[in-house]
Amino acid sequence: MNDIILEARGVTKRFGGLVAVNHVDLIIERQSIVGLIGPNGAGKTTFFNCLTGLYTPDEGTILFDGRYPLAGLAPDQITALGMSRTFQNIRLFNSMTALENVLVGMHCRTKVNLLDAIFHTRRYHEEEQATRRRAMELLEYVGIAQYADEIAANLPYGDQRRLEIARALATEPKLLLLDEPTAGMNPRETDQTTELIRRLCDDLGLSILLSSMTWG
Amino acid sequence: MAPSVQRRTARTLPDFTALVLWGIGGLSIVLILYRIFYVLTTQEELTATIWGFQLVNGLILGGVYALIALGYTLVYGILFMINFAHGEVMMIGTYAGYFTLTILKNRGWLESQPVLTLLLTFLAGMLTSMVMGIVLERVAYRPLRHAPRLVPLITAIGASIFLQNAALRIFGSRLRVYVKPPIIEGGWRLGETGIFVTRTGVLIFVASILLMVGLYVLVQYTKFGKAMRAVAEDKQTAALMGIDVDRVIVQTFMLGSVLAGAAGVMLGFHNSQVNAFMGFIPGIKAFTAAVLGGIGNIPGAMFGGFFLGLAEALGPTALGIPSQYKDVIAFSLLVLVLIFRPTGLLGEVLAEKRA
Repeated sequence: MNDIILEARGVTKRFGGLVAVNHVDLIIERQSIVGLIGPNGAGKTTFFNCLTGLYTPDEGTILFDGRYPLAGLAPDQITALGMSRTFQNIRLFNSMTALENVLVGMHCRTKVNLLDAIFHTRRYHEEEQATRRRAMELLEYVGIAQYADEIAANLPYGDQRRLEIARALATEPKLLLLDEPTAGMNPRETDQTTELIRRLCDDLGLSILLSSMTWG
Repeated sequence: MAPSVQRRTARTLPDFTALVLWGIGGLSIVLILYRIFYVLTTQEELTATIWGFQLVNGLILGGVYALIALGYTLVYGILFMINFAHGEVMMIGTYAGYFTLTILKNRGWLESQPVLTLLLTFLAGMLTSMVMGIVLERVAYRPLRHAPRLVPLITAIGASIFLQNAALRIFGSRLRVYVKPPIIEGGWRLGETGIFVTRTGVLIFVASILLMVGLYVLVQYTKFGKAMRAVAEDKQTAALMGIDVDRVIVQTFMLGSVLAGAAGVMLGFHNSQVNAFMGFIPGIKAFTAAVLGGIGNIPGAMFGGFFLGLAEALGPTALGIPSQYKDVIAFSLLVLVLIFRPTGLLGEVLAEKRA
């Protein structure tokens, strides 16, 4: 078993003449928390987008889990390999409930297909119950189980961030990318989030890459 | 100072365009109400029978419109494009149903296996339409996924014309008669009222309601439905959550086309015939229905379908004009809704589109 979850070599992304990400080398070890610090416009989010497949880097290679080169993979394929993320500006599915948001995250880990759903096979029922239970566990883990049936847009700001983390966890990632997880939070919420991120690493054994504008 | 002066002039000057529009709207409502009042008070031969007959007609037509409108709304909800070839997808399904019926008739199943015959006809129509929908998405729309929104729209109109003429070439221009199994021949007279309800009508109404309930459950409660709603709301985030967006789009087309196929077979039975251009008018009408209810909105499409069906059936009677004017009523409704409530009668529940 390899000790390195992500290895980026010389990742470069240009937008026309603007070099947003310039030859980034980054190695993330398993079960570690790595921070990406920089001011606005430093290219943190662009780098995240390169890693998750939203952008194709112009140069450089990214090796995930010691085996998988990410070049040319679509975002959903990268998620299936075990990388998941949250967003700097929250991007929940606002018309769905908190629970449904998490269930969407579990989409790529469940096996039932359309035919199972139409004919209500036993596999469908068993899996439906199992995924619901698992989704509730995740909401409990991040501490917002009481909002399970609330529409995501109506949650308090800090809890929307927690929900994003729960949804990211639902894809069963090995590496979690948190894009400015404490942006816009008050000191108390920041402390709570920091504590949650520690737990993710220690309890669940996740590797975490987080970006932030400040140390702390 | 300057901004406040500007604001005052903006407030004192009435918005002329809005005034004209509301004038037109108010005037047409007054005229319609006057006409209905006039018809109701002067024409005594308008008995409950005629109203009941038109009501039943409207419900049957409405069910078919609603089914087709759902296909428009599903695709719009997910791709923000209007699939103008949807009516032709339906027409292909109607032909498939026709050929199945003809084969089964020659085997004598119409009498010996009437229920199975009906099921097989519907199944053939739905599956063929489904395949048509998949091919259409693959060939005509997927290569244009990232093109400006106008491009797939024009392609859709092109695909519509192409399919009409391809069907004309392949199946010929003669009318083909949809044979009815005896099980859906005839009907019932409702008690004293004298309203005649055909068995075909009942079949159409019940089947369309069942399909709509099925679709609603599928979208609201299954994993596929959640993935579809996620893709409709935000494709990028959906992809990052591990959803294969292209797959969900194909499945959405499949779903809409299956409903269109069922509606096509229903129309075949209803009109007792099929031809290559039969998809055009119902397609446009169903599009109208989808807009009436609020395009992108699933309950809206169902509501809009029935609303339009009823307006078409009851409208000419209520206004005392020949029923050939029903298309005029339908499209006038479309214009009025687009002017006064562009988001549709049930409003828009779409999330704002992200880049």
